[in-house]
Amino acid sequence: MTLFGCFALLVAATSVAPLLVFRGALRVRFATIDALVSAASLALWLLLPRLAIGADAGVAIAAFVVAKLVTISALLVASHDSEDLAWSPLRGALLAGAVYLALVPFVVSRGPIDGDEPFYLLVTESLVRDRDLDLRNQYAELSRSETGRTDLAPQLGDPVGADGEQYSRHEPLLPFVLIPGYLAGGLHGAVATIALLAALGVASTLRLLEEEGLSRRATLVVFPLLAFGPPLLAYATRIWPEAPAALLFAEALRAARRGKRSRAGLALVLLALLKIRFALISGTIAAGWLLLQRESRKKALVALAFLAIPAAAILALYPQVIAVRMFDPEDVFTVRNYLRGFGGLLVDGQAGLLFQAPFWLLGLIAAFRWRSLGAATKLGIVAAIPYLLLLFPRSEWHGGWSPPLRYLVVFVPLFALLAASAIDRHLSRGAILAAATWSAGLSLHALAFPNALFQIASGESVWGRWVSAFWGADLSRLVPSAIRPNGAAMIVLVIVLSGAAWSFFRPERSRLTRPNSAVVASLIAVIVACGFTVARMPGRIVELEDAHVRRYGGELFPDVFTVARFRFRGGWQFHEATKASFLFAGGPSTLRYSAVAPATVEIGGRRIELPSTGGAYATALVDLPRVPGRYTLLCVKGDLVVDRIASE
Amino acid sequence: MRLVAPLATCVASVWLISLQAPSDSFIDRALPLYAVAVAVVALLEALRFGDAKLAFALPLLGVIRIAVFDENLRILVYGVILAVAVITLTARVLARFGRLTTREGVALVVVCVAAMKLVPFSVELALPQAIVLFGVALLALSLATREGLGAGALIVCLAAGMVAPLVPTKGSLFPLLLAAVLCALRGPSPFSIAAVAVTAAIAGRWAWPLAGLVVCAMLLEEVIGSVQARRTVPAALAVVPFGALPLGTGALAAATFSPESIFALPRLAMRRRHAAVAVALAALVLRPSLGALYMIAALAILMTDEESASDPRVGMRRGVPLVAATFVFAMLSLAGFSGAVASRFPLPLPYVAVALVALPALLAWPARRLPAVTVVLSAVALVAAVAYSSVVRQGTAIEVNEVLAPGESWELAIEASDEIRVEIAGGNLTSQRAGAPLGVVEAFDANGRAIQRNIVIGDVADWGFGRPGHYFAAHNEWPWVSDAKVAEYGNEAFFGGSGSIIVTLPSATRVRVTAATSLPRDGRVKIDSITVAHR
Repeated sequence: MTLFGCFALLVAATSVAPLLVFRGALRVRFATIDALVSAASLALWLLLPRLAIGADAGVAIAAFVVAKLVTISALLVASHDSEDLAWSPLRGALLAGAVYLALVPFVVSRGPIDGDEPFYLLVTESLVRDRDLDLRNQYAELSRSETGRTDLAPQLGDPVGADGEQYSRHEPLLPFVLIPGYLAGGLHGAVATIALLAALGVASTLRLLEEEGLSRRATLVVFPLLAFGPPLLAYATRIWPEAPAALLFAEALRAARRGKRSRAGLALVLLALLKIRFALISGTIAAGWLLLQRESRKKALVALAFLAIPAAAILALYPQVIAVRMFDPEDVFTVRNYLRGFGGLLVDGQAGLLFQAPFWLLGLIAAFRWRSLGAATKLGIVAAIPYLLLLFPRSEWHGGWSPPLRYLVVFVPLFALLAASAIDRHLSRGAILAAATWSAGLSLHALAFPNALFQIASGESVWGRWVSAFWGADLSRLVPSAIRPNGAAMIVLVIVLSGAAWSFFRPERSRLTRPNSAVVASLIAVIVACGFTVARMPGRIVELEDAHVRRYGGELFPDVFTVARFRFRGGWQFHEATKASFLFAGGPSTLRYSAVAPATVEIGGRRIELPSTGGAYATALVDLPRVPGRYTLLCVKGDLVVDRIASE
Repeated sequence: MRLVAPLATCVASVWLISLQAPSDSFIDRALPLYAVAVAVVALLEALRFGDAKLAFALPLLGVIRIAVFDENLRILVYGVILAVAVITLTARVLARFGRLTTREGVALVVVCVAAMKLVPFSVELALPQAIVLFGVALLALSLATREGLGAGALIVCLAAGMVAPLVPTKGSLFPLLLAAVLCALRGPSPFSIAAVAVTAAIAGRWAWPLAGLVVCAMLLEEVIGSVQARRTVPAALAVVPFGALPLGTGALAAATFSPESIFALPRLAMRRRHAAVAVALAALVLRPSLGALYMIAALAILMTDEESASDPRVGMRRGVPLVAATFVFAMLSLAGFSGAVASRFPLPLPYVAVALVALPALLAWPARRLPAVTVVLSAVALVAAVAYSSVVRQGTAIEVNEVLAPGESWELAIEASDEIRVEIAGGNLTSQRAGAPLGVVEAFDANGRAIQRNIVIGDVADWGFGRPGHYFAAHNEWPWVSDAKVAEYGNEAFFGGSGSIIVTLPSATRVRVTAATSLPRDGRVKIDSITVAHR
C-alpha cells in the first residue's frame, strides 16, 4: 500500500472509530476539534517546505496520528461523566482495534520485521506450505518468503532433528494462530492477527478494570495509555507473543477472580504454550487460585506437591532450562545481577519503565497499598513475582534485540490495574499529564521509527545517542544505564525507591502539600542546564563505540546484528590509518584493547606500541597531558579493537 | 512575588543553555527573550490562578535547544511553545472569567509582539520597534472595556503588532493610529477626530483612506442622528451629499437603509459593523501591504461594536475564542519568521478574510449559529493557506539562474517532457501592479507544435518585494503558485517573490522564456530553475 493509502486509512480510523464512543453534542464537539486538528496538520505539512524544513512523510503521518489520538484521549477523559459518552470495554476495544488495524500497513511499510518476528512467520509458512515445522526448505527459499528477509539463518539454540530437520526454538502456538491471517493477507494478515489479539487484550483489561470496581474516570485515563501508549502500541503491530500473552494474562485473572475454572484453565494452558517462560505465571496463578479455594485446598496442596517436586529437581539439575540459554549460568543468581536487573527494569534509559513507560511506573509506585488492592490485582502481583525473580538476574533482562520492555508486556493488564487504582487514590494530575506527554512522544517515536526500537544494548539510549552524536559530547553518561551501570542510574534508582517508600509509608489520609509548579520547573531547568554544562565537559571514561565519538573509518565490533551482542565487551575496530576523536579529561590513562597482532597507535601526541593480546582484552597505560579537550586516537599500524580509555 | 525567583531561575537556566550552545542564528541567541516572554505568561497565570503551571514551558525551551538540530524546525518549536503558553492562559481565563483584565491583556500583547518584532534587535530599528510596542499597548487599552479585554481584541492587538511595518518608520505608527481611531469611535468628539487626523497626517498617505472612512462614518452617524431627532428631512436625502465620498461610505449607506425607509424615518442606529465592512471592502482595492492593515482595522472596529461591548460573554458565544486560538497559534508559532508571515497576514486570500469579518456582521446571524460558522471559516482559512503553498511536484529540477533584460530571450533543450514548471522572479519591479506583463514562456515539441503562457505580475512578483524594507511600498501581488522558501529570520524574514509558471505540452523538447519589452529599463526577469516531469 502506498504511503498515501496508509495515511487515508489512518485518517478514516481516527476520525470514524471514535464516533462509536461519542454521541450527541460530544460527537459534534469531537468532529469540530477533529476537523480543526486535521486542517491545522494539513496546513502545517504544506507550510513546512516553505519554511525550508525538510520533513519525512512517514514521520509527519506518525505525528498526525499521535495528535489525533491525543485529541481523542483528552476528550474521553474530559467527558468521563457526560451522558453523551457511550463508553464500554467493547467500544473501547473496537476503537483500539480500528487504530491498530489501520496502523498495520503503515508500520509494515516503515521497515522489515526484525528480531524473532521473521522466524515466527517462517514457521507459519512452513505449516501452511509443508504442514510441518521443518524449516530447511524455508531457509533455502528465503526469496519466496513473506518476511522479505533473505539474510535469515537458524538462530542460536534452534533444535536440529535426528534426520537433520531444522526446527525453530520458538513455540509453535503463535505461528499456528497466525495461519488464517497469513492465508488471507500474507505478512499484513499475520500482523493484523496480532493487532486483533492486542485489541482483545485491551477489551479484556478494560473489563478487568470494571470488575475490580475501579471508577470510570480512572478507566478512561488509563485506556489511551494502555491502548495507544508504550509498550503495548509497539507490540500490537509486530509479530511477537507479548500482546497475545497480555490478553491471556488478563483473561486468566478475570476467570480466576470470577471462579470460572475451565476458562481460567484454558487461558493458563495457552499462556504456557505461547512461551515456556509464561509457564511460571500460569503455574503461580493456578497455585494461588487453588490455594484460595477453601473447599479444594487439600487437593490443591497434593497437586502442587506432585508438580513442584519434579519441577524443583529439573531446575536444580538443569538451571539453564529456565534461566538463560547457556550464558554463564553460574553467574546468573548473584546479588549484583539481581540489583542490575531490578534497577534496570525500573530506571534504565533504554530498557526501564521510567523512560519507556513512565505512566506504568507511576502506578507501580503510587499503588503500593496491598490492602486497598482488588483480588485480581493481588493475584496478578503474586503471579508476577516468580517470573520477575527469574528475569532480573538474566543477562538479557532488557529484552535483547526487541522493542523495549519485552519481558514486561505480558503484565500490561496488571500495570493498568495498579495505575487505575492509583488514579482513584488521587494520583497527581500533574504527574499524569507529564507521564502522558512523555508517553505520547514515545508513541510518536515508535510509529515514526519502528526499527529504531531495536537497540544494541550498549549502555546508551536512543535519545542519549541522538543528542551525543550532534554535540560530540557524552550526554549519554547522564542517562541512567543498568546495562553499563553508571552513577546516574544509582541516583535515579534511589530517588524512585524513595518515592515508592514514601508512598508506602505515608498515612492513608495524610494531606499532601502540592509543590509549587514554578519551583519544580526551576528545579528541572537547573538540572537540564547543569546537566548540559557538565555533559559538554570532557569525561574521564570514553567508550569508543559510543555515539559522541567521531570516527573516521573502522567499524563497530562486534557487528550490530551479532546475536546476544550484549554479552560482548565490544568496542571499535581500528585498521591502519583509521582514527577517532573524542572529548577526554586527559592525564595518566588506561587503554583497554584487543589485538591479535602487535599494533601501534597515536594519541595526544604520544605513540604507543601495543603488544598482541591473542584476541583477549588487555590494558595499556597511556601517559597523556592533564589537559581536558578533544583527543584523536589514530591507528598507525596494525588492527585492533579499542573498548575504552579511562583517565585514572 | 515569591514566584519571581523561581521564574527568574528558569530564565537564567535557559540563558545558560543558550550560552553553552552558540549558534549563528539570532533566533537562538534571542532564546532568553522567548524565555522572558513565557515567564511573563507564567507569572500572569500565577497572579490569576495561584499557580504557574506554564512555567514548565521554560525548561522545555532549553530541552528544545539541546535536542532539536534542524535550525528552522527548532525556531518553529520555540514559537509553538510560546503560542501554546499564551493560548492556554487565555483559554483558562476566558473560560472562567470571560475576559482578560486590562493589565493581563496589555502585558500579554506587549510580550508577544516583542517576541515577534524585537528579533533581531538593531539600533536602526530601535525607534520603530519602540513605537510599535507602545502602539499595541495603547491599542489594547483602547479595546479594553470595563470588564476587560476579550479574545477578539487579543487577536487584533497581536495582528496589528505583527503586520505593523518597521520600515518605513511611519508605518510603525499603525497600531497607534488604530488606537486613535478606536478611541474616536468610542467617544466621538472634535478632539478625538482631530487626534485621528493628526496621527494619520504624520503616518502618511497610506493612512488617509482609513482615517477618512472612519471620520466619514462618524459624521454620517451624527447627521443621521440629528436628522432623526428633528424628523424634518427624509433620511434618504441626507445620503446624497455623501454619495461622492469613497466607496466604503456608499456601501455603508446602502447597508444602512432599506428601500422602505426612503420615505419614512426609521429608527436607525449607525452600527460600527458597517464601518468595519467599509474598511474591509477598502482592503480589497488597496495594495496588498495595506490590505492586511485595513483588514485588521476592520476587525478592530468590529470589536468596538456596541453589542460586543455591552455583553462580555458575546465573545464566547460567537465562537470568537476558537478563532482567536487559531490565529494566535498561527501568529506566535511563526514568530521566528514574523517578517515573512506579516507580509502574508492575516490571510493570503483577502476574500476569505472579508468573509470572516463581513458576513457574520452584515447578515446578523444568530449568535448560536456563529460558533460552527466561525469554526468552518477557520478551517477554510487554514486550508486556504494551503492554496498559497505549492505541492512539490515530482520531476527533474534543473538549476538555471539566468537574468533577462527587457526583450531578451533564453532557451533550453530538454528531454521529452509533458509538464514544464519554470520558477521565475522579477527584479526591480516592485512598483508594477497586478496584471502588468513580464514576458512569455513557450514550450515546443519536436514537430514544431508550440504552446505559450504569458507571465504577469500575480503569476510572479519581484524577488525581494516581500522584504520588510520593500514590502510596504510595493504594488506586487503574491504569486498564486510558488515554490519560494523563507529566507532570514525574525522581523527580517521574507518569502521570495518567485512564482511557478506551468506549461503542459506532450513530449515538449524545448522551452523558451522571453522578457517583455514593456518592462522598465532596469527591470529584469530572473529564471531560477526549471522542473520537467512526465505525467
